[in-house]
Amino acid sequence: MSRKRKNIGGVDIDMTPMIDVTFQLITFFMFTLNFTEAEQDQRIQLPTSQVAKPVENSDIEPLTLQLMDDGRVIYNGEPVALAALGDYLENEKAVMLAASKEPSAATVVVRADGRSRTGDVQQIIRSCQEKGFDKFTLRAEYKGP
Amino acid sequence: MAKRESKLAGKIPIDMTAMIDVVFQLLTFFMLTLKSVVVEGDFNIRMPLGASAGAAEENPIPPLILKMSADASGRLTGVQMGGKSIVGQDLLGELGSADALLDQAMAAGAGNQAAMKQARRAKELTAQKLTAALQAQIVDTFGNDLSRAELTELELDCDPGLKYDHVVSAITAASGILKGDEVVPLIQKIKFAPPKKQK
Repeated sequence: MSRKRKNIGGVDIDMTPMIDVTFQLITFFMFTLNFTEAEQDQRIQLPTSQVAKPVENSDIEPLTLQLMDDGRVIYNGEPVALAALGDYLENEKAVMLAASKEPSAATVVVRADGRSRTGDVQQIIRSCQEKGFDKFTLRAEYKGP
Repeated sequence: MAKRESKLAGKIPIDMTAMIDVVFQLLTFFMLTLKSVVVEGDFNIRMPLGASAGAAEENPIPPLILKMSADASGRLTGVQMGGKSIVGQDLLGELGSADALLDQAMAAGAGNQAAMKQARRAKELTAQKLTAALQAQIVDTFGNDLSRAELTELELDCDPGLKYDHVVSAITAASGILKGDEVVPLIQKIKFAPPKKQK
């Protein structure tokens, strides 16, 4: 009986480090997957460009607005009407002011679908300007030469 | 004694194999999905409200105005720079048919992946042609003195219905020249003209 126990223990010790490592890898990949899915929404097909600059990470969290081809904006994962965007931006501004930061310090990332109307993109920019945001970046899919 | 040991030795690895199989499949799945993430890039535009009048005074070089017009369905019907049309009819036709192809593929839904892929590829190629055509014209306006480009401001005057990817093609053309793997920066200040009232 005691010999049986020893045997099991021996096999376990062999496997433990490998399973540990494997599970850590899985955890890592799961987290990175969740993170990119939130940012890169599948409902948006970005236009392609060969010279877009690599995305810069600033210390202030950028405000991401994603425009779908039907003219609705994805804000915090939910599609909202373009006309209602002003209220959400007002909230965003209030949050920034509460943290004693000016809205102009934050970058607004516009991820617009390639098939959406240019007028809608301009409308987003205008809504943001009215709330004091003035740094914009237009995001495109990078297609190397 | 020998019998019992061999039984044990056979049993434990089988228990582990199933779990390890599953774990490795999960690992493979997550690794592959991670790879499908596309690389993205940015174009910076700075547009404070109502500052355009002041900026015009301090900048001695007049802004380059690119006027892009569209028909009701959002197709590009003409690009003008300094009052002169700079994109030929044949290229506009090509852009239009690539747009139509993509619209068809999108309407068919996700069912036909091959058609979708082909349409997106065709779209990409025509977009690159448009970029090349626009870039040739923009470089032409600066002649030999490309350093002037950095001081110049580009203003995009687009019809509101125009499909956005044409605008990105124009911004691509204006913001840098691709030489090998390097990008030579061109115009850095890009903005939209104030939106017109919709008809």
